[in-house]
Amino acid sequence: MVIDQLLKMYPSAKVISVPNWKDKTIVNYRIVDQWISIEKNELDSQQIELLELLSDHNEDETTNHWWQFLNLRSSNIPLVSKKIVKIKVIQFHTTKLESRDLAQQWIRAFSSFFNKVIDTFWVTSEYGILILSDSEIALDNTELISMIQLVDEDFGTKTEAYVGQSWNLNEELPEIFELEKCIFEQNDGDAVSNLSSDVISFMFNQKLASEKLFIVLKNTITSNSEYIAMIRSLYSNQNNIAKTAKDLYVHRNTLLYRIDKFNRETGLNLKSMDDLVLCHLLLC
Amino acid sequence: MVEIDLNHIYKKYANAEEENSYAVSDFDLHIKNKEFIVFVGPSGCGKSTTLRMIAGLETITEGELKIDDELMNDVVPKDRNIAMVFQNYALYPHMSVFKNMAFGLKLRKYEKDDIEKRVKYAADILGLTEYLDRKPAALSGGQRQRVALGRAIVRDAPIFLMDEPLSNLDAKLRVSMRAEIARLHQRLHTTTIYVTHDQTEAMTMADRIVVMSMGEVQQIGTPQEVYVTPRNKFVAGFIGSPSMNFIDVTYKDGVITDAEGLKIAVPEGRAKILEKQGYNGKQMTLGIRPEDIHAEEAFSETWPNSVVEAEVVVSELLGATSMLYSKVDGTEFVAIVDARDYHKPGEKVKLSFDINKAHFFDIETTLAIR
Ligand SMILES: Nc1ncnc2c1ncn2[C@@H]1O[C@H](COP(=O)(O)OP(=O)(O)O)[C@@H](O)[C@H]1O
Ligand SMILES: [Mg+2]
Repeated sequence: MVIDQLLKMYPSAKVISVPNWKDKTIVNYRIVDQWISIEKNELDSQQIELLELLSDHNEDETTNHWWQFLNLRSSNIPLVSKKIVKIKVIQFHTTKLESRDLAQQWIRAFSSFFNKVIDTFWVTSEYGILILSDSEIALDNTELISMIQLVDEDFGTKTEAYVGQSWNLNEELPEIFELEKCIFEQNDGDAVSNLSSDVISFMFNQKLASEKLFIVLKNTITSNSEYIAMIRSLYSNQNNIAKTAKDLYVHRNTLLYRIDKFNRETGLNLKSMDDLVLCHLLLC
Repeated sequence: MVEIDLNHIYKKYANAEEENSYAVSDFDLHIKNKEFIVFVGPSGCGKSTTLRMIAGLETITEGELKIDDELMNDVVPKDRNIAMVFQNYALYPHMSVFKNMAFGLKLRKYEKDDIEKRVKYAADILGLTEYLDRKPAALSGGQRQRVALGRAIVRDAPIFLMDEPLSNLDAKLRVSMRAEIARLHQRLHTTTIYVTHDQTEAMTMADRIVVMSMGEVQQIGTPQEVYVTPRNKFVAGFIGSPSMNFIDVTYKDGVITDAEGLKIAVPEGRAKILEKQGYNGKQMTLGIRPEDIHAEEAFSETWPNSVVEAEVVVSELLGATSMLYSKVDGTEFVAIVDARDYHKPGEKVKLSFDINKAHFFDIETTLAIR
């Protein structure tokens, strides 16, 4: 293991749970999900560079104090007005912009849609953060998608964003943010995603999707593309038969017939919410 | 001059369930210079996906996209010289109307004078001149949609792509904006692809309509062609409002009958075709538009064998015409008749089916029998 090697190479190296950023005589690195500290005087500049490369965080990552805090690189909670108790983090990923100036214009254009921006910054040249006060008016997904379309059109970018929940601004936040980061990383192409749109499929894919039972069930369901469309539409129409029939452009009786047929073939009854949710999950 | 070629285009999303589940398959279309093309079909049929592939916002899984004979598959969106208008459009809240239209040009490093000229021209066409200094919050819904169109016009791109640009406006505004977009096209002649799920929009705006269902093109033709000679039952039912009536019937020796007691003669010309195609004694679907079922006596006297005794179930008076939801025993259908032939529910009425205008579809393939 890398960590073991490092511990052998540098006598002062220690595995630690929380890095102490205030101590200027040591350097901290996050390597394979663990923190390790090494005394500075044991390292020359070349070795520091190599360790940077080895460590989990990207070398051109920002030193922004929010980023440091959210990623446990500093335990200092950034100073904000006392009125702000909760914050919301929007993560965005976009195509690399040609110049630093353009990147600054991009981030200004994107944040101009929000009223309560606390801070906004690029973490890498393609990934950035917008910190919003909880009192920001909630925007729905279609509004956000259209804002992203506008910015993408003007800048020629392709952007995906994850809208975090509102969380209390305290020392628990970094751990929560860690999961929000993971969920966003798994996003496969949706312009805007959030906890409720992604978490169920996220958990399902982590834990159950590879179980034989679910694979077999999924194969049955997806054997017929009519079924896929039917499940999707029933789910998004909250199991309303009339709306679904309209949506699928079939007669109500045709839809009921297909639901019956599906029941006979799979044993699952889409009129039951439990069965419908299960089928929806299998399609995630 | 600009021509667009879509050669056997397929799209499969990365998260598609099955091996062969394509969001769009075998999309094949040649778009001529200055044409106004409308993609129409129910929600989820692949209209936006196709449009986004043309814009470069989605990758093309298979097939070729050519603009003026140049392969575009791998060209990034900003190098495609296409302007797009979306269903949900945002504007920068802190910028004036002028700046909202100018911003994209500024980023593309256009000269200041040039930007000003273009924005003023677009504002003039769209009747926005006196609003140029306003912020979006001080505009009405229709004016905001015009600014969105203006952002496309200032680009002076040879191709416009519009994805349901009117579907968030109220019904009245939608009708007037529809006319406005049509006028815009007559003035600018920009080659346009317009996406909608609304067949009325398609029929009123298009030079040619592409009817889609389940990721596949069902028919391509002028509004008149898709209305008069639908290729299959889907197109026949989707185009036209109210929808075409469908009745499963059996044809035998010049007469069609259904299980519920309907019995109508088929004129000789049509009968010949059915027999030649091998349908004598076979089941098929009869399709007849509500406007091709008549209540006038003159018609029933001329075609006595096409008359049925129907009972009115529901009726609506719509000014010059009236809609009769009627039935013959168990078979239900809608007729649009002259307001003078209005009947109350429960009343009996003689209705004649204009079989010369009717359509016949194969039960299995749903293709029109010609
Ligand atoms: N980003 C996406 N990822 C996966 N599937 C998608 C995506 N966008 C659309 N689809 C699927 O592709 C099909 C066509 O969608 P779309 O082109 O949006 O239809 P339309 O615009 O005609 O309503 C639908 O089944 C839809 O669920
Ligand atoms: Mg669409």
